[in-house]
Amino acid sequence: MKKRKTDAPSAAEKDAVTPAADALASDPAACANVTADCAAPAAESAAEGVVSPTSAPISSAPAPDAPAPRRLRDRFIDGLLLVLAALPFVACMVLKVLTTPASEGVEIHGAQVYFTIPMPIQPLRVSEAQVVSLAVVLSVLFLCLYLTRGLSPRGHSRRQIICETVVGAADGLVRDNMGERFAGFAPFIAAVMALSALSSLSSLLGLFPPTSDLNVVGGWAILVFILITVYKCKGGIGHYLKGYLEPFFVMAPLNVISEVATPVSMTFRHVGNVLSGVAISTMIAAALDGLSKLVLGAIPFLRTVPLFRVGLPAVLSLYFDLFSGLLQAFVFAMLSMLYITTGFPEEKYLERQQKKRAKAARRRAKS
Amino acid sequence: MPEVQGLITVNIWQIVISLCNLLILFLILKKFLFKPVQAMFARRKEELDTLYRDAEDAKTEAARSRMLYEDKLAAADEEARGIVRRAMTQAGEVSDEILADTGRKVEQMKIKARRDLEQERKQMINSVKDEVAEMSVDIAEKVVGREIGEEDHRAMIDRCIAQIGQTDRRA
Repeated sequence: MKKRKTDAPSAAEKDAVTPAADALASDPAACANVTADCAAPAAESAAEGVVSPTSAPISSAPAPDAPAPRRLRDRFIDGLLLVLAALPFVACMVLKVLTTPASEGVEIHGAQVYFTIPMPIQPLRVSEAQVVSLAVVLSVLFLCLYLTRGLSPRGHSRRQIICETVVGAADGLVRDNMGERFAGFAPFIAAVMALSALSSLSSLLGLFPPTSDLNVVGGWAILVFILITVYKCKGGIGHYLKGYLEPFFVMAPLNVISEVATPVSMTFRHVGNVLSGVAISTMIAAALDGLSKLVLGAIPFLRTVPLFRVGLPAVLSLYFDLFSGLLQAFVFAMLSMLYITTGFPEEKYLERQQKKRAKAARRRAKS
Repeated sequence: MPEVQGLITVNIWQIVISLCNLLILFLILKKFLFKPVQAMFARRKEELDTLYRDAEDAKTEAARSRMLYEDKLAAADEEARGIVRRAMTQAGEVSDEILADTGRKVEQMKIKARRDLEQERKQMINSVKDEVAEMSVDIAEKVVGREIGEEDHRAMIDRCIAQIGQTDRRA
């Protein structure tokens, strides 16, 4: 019953969104015997297909029956999407619990490999990092579907506000840092941030954070590197290649190294931060475990409980998992924006565009 | 015992998968978050624009109709003042006419009254004359009836005249 009561405001909120529910609320037959303060429970019971005592006399009215299934379906879909958004992480946790062997002692290692698929160059090892990455993608997909349901120009539901804030913030960040020309990068930067942040935060659920896997972050950095190169080539490939010979041709090897260093440094910065957090957390936990055994070893019942592990790891987790994870996501996104924007030769690009246009105009004039 | 990856390993396929993951997430966010929200923003902007335009239109319309009303009101005022002025001049004219008419009538009445008086006087004088003649005849009879001296004559004539004066005054 208590749960139901807490549902009431959200039900009233949905009233404002769906026109069908509006019709239900404004239906005079439905409101005839219902006073203002019991309107919400009545509407709720109508939505659930249950006839409450107050609405018993009007249950024969045909109007309230029509919108009820639609509202019920709406709420069902909302719930389903939320469950689907949470399910990937739950599945990952279950998988981890089922497959992790009981181990003694401290061991810092990479992700657990679930199975290996033979591939041409190198066998693909599907590890926990891959699975959690996929979980993040799926979760974000369902979250997006949930959040964008029932958007309306005049709506101001909680979901809509979240949507508008996220999109507005990403758009504003990209416009501020990259300029109007790159405004289309907003979803990409948002994707980088979401993937990185949620991957790092998955460690809060006890999962292996994919951001501490070199291959995962390396993939993102390579994609960013491809984008950087593509935008550098917008000024013409010749112009791009000439850039390596500056200030004089002897510098070419160094220029190549500095070019390659970009994705490598991005990767190592991100991975190093998260991985070091994991390593330090693990070591401190092990140390506290040892201390606990040393001090409380003599006491019969407390011997098996690592009492000293209570407290400090949680505080450290606040920094290493929450703060560091979010910060690195932000840093990665900022660096991506910065590299792409600064690599883009704007003047050369505009010059080329002008030349192209002039050429097209000449061709048109000829024909 | 499941296999465990080393802390730092490189696996090309994992890199490719991760790259694809980011691409897929980018597409997901673009299609399922940014597109609907931006479409909503566009719709909201459109709605706001039409609202503003409508409001602007209504405002200019109101201003226009107010000016129209004011013009009309001013015209009506002018007209009313004209009507009053015309009525007043008309009334002045009418009253002048009436006054003149009245004056004329009074004048006529005066003239008539004077004429009547004159006539009456004439009539009276005539009647007095008649009476004087009659009296003269009477007196003559009386004179004829008895001897009269000079003094008697004089006295008689005096009496006569006195009588005439009396009768004249009486008439």
